[in-house]
Amino acid sequence: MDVFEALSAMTTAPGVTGNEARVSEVVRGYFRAYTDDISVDAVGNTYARIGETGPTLLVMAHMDEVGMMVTCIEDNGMLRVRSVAGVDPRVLPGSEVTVHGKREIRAVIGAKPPHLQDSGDEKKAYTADDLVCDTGLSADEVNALVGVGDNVTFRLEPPMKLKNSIVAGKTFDDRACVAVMLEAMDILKSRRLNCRVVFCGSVQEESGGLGASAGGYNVKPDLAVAIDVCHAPTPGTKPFDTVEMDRVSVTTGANIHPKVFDMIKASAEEQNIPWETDVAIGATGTDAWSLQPLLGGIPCGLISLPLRYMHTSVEVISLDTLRNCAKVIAGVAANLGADWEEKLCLDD
Amino acid sequence: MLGRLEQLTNIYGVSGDEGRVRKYLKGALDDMGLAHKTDAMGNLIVHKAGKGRRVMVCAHMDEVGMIVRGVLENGLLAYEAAGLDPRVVISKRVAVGRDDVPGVIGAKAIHLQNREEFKRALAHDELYVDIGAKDRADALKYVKPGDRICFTTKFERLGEDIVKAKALDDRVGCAILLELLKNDYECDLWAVFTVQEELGLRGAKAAVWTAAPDVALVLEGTTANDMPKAKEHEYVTRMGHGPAVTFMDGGTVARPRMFKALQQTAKEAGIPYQFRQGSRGGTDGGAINKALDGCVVGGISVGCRYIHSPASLASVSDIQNAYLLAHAFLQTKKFDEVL
Amino acid sequence: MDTKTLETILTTYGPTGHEDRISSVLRDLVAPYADEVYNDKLGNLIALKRGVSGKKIMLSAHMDQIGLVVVAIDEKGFLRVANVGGVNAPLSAGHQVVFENGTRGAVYFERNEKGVGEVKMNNLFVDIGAESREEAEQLVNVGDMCVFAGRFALMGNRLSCSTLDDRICCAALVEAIQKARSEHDVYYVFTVQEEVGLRGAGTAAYAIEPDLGISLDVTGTGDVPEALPMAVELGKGPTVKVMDSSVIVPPAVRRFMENAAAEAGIPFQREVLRGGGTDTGAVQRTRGGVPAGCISIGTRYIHSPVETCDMRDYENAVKLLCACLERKELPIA
Repeated sequence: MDVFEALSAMTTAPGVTGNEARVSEVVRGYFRAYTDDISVDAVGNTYARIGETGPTLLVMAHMDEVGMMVTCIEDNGMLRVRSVAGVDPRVLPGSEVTVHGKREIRAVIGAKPPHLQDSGDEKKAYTADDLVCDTGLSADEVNALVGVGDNVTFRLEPPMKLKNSIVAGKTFDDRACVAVMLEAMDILKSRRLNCRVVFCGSVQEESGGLGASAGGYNVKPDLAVAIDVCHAPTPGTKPFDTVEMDRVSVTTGANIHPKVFDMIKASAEEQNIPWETDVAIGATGTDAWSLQPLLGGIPCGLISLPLRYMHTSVEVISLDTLRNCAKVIAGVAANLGADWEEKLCLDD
Repeated sequence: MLGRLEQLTNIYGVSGDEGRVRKYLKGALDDMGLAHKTDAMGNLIVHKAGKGRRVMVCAHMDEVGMIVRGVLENGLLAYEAAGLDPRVVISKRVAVGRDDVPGVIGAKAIHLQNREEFKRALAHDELYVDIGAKDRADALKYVKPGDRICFTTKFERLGEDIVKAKALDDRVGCAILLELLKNDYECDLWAVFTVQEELGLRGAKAAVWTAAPDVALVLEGTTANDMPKAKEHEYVTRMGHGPAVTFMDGGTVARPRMFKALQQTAKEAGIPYQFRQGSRGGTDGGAINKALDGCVVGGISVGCRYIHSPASLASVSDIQNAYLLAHAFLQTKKFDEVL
Repeated sequence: MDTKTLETILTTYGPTGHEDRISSVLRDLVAPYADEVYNDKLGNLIALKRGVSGKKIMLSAHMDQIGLVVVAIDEKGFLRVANVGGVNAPLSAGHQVVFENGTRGAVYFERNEKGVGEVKMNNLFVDIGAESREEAEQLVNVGDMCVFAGRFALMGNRLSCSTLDDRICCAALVEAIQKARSEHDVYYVFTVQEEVGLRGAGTAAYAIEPDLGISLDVTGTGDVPEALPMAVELGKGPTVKVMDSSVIVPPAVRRFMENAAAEAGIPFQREVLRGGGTDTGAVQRTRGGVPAGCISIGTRYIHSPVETCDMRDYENAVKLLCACLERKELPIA
């Protein structure tokens, strides 16, 4: 499948955390190439099921993006916006955004011009209360088209290709991992499976994991693997906080079932895929955290795709590594069969 | 029970890596002829089926510790800690990974520090574990990222009534729970040795789905801050003044009937007790009380001085009385009076 | 609702975890209108009015109020306290408090150079008029809780009382059970322990398994001097919640509520609350997820002894709630 094309379509569909209906529709369109068993649950999690018998493996990547919401409309029509989850106000000044009102409205995030600032001002970081979102429309027009609660996203622009199979764009966190799932489905379409795989585009990961918590309950899987992004090195990052761009990150730590870690590692090694251990003492900050304690405990694993400049509109990933993540997931599903309970036994 | 406590506190079992504690407890349960199950997170569950109230009694197996994040070029190990003040880890001996590779957490000698450095406390990311490796490749022969790092303090009696050990929080609870399992109570009892309490009550969050209790007792080690410079109202508990009964903590507000029932039980049985005089801190009760359709939780704690450090202290009589209190509560079926 | 009943609901003792008294008062008020009334394990009060559609709606308003818990009693009879829920320490000093058994206390703070603004919980103490620990222990015990002494003040259209959060919404539920006609099974849930983490709502929702949840709580306003920007003002109507720190209300549920308001001609505002969570989030997160929304009553000075709201917003909140309950079709997220 054309991963870049799927990425373009998914990252230009708006889906701020809590409001994922439109991106869900796009994802379902891609799911349809692989299965008819597609559904959406009460909170918007979007599922595609393959496989007939055996243990149930839940693979989860979140569809929601970090974004903003209109909280106030000033008398002059300017908008006050706040992050719904995860948007650093410092990346906003001078950004082009899209206001999702009754129609899509282009706007900019404005701040005081440098000429009028006191010296020393430029050292202070902006907070959301310092910024305005300016559509250029009159107050009357704004009030007719926009309401409190409307989402504001980074401008919906398709990703761009850089050198070396590296691409840049918005919302690779975590739509690039939804693309991983699609690619995995593509790999598995010609394999006979001895397990059931439920691929799930989850909602609200960025705002507390409601999707994972509801999704895990609904699916009741025997084991689960979440796919999310992790940090790749950039100047100033510390060792061990990052994973190299060309490696599949496999997390270990208390959130991860040691045998699921082993399954993922085995899949990577037998396919000669470069991978690296990422250590998290406890919370991984992903859907895996919400999934793990449900229903008496779900064995969880976490695979991550390294990414630079997370939660900006210019996130950067490697398409080669994306495809490798898909191969690793597909390998886990392909190896899963009747002996799964034995394989998951915790040895003391 | 003290013998078991000694063995339990000496075992290495940092959050997420409780296997050895679990193995010990399974052995003890096998000796007692009790069936047990381990769930997907590693919680050890003993269900003593019976008619009547579904009652859960729990204690956590994990202790605070560290995990290897990575190995530096010079062979030192970078680590991450949970629940540990960086000031208590300096100048301590540790064991790393399943092979118990010996290591130390040192710091720059004071001779080499200037006045400013002297005053500043070091953070975890400025400290390292030294296993004596020559370089990264050498270190990786013995340890790997993800290995747990545990203090190696050995259990000792200090004076008549005091024990010193690591992990009194919450191996005291485990020892008491094991002792309680020797008895039969008139209820449907779910005894759970939980995992990962120190990481956010994680094991309890899972186990409660299985136990689905109406009433729960949580056996914990808690803060005893009865020190010279502390104000009396900040002691939380006083060592040697009996097990502490909880009216409120960071995750629970005791239902009035439960709080009264625990005190009533102690008075009836002539067991000394105190109040856990604090409103913060968390125990597995915080996960249990608001799970599913709710559960009435009671907390019985043993005060531990220097909790969450390599060497903490507790009173033997407190531990014994905590057992007696929990036992009396169950024996006299107080769980029927708290709903 | 007559003023006397409103005042009773607002001023009955019921701090987090100790809601039995207010539960009793509310139970007497709703029982005549319900098919079933009961308290669950944590003390939530639930009144069910059955319908015919087979769908279940869970309404919630929390009974508990913030307060102070006695952590220690010193040898001179002063009580040392900690907060139960979001109590602001400097705002507590200089107020009167009352315990369940009627004991009264005066809250003050340990003198410090910088004054009351720097005061933390462990600098506060309560004077109940005792001169020794023994004397104090005749009146209160460690673990007892006190609340701000209720002062109910009508100021024109506005009402000021320390417990608007969330007793004003409990009153709204009491009116609704009397007035609303619904085809659906409606569970009127007066929840416990909201102020310390939405504990009652989640457990009630788990047991009830509703198809829709509507919570009622207070929310902040942006209409006082130097207020942070917020699009809610007193007197402009109840709000349809968009988001708070516990929940993002699904657009479909918001639309459902806004349509109900529009059709019934009820004014409303949209609310984004920063830095506060509500039962809505706990209901939403139950089992496989529940479509959940919230109607809020704008309130100034939340979590202070002088919370203030507009009674016209209250009346419209009741109307909006009834309008929602009277809809045939429930939202699917």
